[in-house]
Amino acid sequence: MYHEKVLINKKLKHGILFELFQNRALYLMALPGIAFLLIFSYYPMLGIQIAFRDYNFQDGIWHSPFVGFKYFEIFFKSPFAGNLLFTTLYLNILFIVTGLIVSVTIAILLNEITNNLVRRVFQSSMFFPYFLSWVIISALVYSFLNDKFGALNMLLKSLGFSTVTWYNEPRLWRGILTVINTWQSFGYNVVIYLAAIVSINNELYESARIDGASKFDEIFRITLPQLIPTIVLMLLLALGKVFYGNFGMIYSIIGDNGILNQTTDIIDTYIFRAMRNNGDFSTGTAVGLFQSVCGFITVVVFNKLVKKYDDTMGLF
Amino acid sequence: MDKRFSLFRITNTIFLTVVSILTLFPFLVVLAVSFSDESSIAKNGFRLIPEKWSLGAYRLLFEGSVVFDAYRISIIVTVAGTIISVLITSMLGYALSRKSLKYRNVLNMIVYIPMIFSGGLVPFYMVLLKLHLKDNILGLILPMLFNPFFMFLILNFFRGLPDAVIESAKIDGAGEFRIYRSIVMRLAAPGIATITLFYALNYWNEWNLALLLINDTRLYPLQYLLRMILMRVSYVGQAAMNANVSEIPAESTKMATVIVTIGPIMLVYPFVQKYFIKGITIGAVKG
Repeated sequence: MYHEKVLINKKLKHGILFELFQNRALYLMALPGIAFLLIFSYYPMLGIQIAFRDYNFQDGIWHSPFVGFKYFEIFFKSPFAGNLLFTTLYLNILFIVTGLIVSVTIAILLNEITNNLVRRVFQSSMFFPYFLSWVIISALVYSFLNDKFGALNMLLKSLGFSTVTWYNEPRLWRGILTVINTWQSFGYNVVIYLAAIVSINNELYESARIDGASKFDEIFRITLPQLIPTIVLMLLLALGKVFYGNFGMIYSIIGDNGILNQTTDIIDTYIFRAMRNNGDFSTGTAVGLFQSVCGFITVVVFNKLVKKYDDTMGLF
Repeated sequence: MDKRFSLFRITNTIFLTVVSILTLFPFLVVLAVSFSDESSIAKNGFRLIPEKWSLGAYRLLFEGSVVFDAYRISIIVTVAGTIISVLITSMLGYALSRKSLKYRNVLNMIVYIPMIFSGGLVPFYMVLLKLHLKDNILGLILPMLFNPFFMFLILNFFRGLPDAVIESAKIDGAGEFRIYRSIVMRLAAPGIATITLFYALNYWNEWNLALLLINDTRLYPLQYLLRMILMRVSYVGQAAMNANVSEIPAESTKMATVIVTIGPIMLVYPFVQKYFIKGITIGAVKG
């Protein structure tokens, strides 16, 4: 009798229900967040199947006719698929490399400013663009580049050059977008690199100074080498996201401008347009699924690399 | 002090001054244009120092109710959204930080997977429609209520809290809700401040959801209103502008809308940026 009771108790103690009851307050607290994810992240995953169906409104996601890989085939056989993919990856790589060089350089230079107040003022000014939405930034870009009043054309005019119709010059825009992206995000990255520089052991500098090292020796032989781990980690984490374009940026600055789209259209804006302008849900889902799968693989691979590089880092 | 050293310092300071000014420059241009007289814009284009100053743009902007309506929507969305978001996020973070929670790894996985895989825009949009969020102010709040990155950020904060405090509170008979409310939230106040500001910034700057869901002009948040005002004159409207000038909002009005939209951020920026710096540094350390 007694034995049985202990057994039952033991069983209960290990059961799901017992655990849920025992920690009911904690599970209750976790519930809203988990419910959110189930509704807004997991539930949409059921909709992925319309990538393989001829989606129509009446039949819905479960009963529209099954067509296999038809929409993937249509997309990959279309003339713009290669270009879209290339632009997405190429823009991201331009952003990553330029951003890295600029923010590491600025962080190192900023670290050399010894006056705290001056340094803080510099950092605050550089960090400011990070707080602006892409709609705001599109307005700033417009104030610079619109051909009638734009500040840049006014400058060109006053210097005696002929003006440029910026919004009609697709070949310039990958460069322009790189400048914009760097401008928007370098202050954010400077924060990270500056934190890394500050944590470098001061003794290294002191002993270098005793050995008669110049400022440049200090930068190139101590600061930069000590920053390499942070740089590599930031690079790997950024590369993991290389298949995802910045929809907010491209769509607010370029929008549906057909001329510029040749060089600036990315997977994300293409999906949005397929869905919104053409009502083509199946193509949009198919391309989105392709992107998600590629994105998933790269994130996992690059995170493995991060882990290999440094166990304590990485997302998982 | 040797000469090279001070030469370096001087050039470095000048260089960084130039970089800082250049960073703020576009913003200064917009500010100047918003205070410019329309006729001097027509004559000289956008300039840092206009020929003639004017408050006309702001007067025009505040004459109608459009901007006030959009402001109201943005404020409602930001305040309501941020409060609920911080509650949901910190509660889940707290639950996951407790080692007595047996299934916390399962819950961890549930939070983690959406960070690396999603159903994509189209299925997400279909869910929003299914939930009747079209032309509904909830559509600007609900889909953004929870952000896994911020959850992990606050989770790290909670993990750093001394276990002994929580254990002794438990022994004193405090329930989990009480510990969360009166101990954890207080001890982790800097972390809570950080995610609050991150969420608030996200809500204030949000326009993608409005782009997807809002057709009713009365429900436009400020960012989306700005986009609509800008759209009429950027490249798309360029042709239209030449055809019919009267239909296009004046340049100074557009730039005044930009300033009005950034306004709250400018006001709080000096006081809050340190929390963002803190959040970024912690976030970066933990991927």
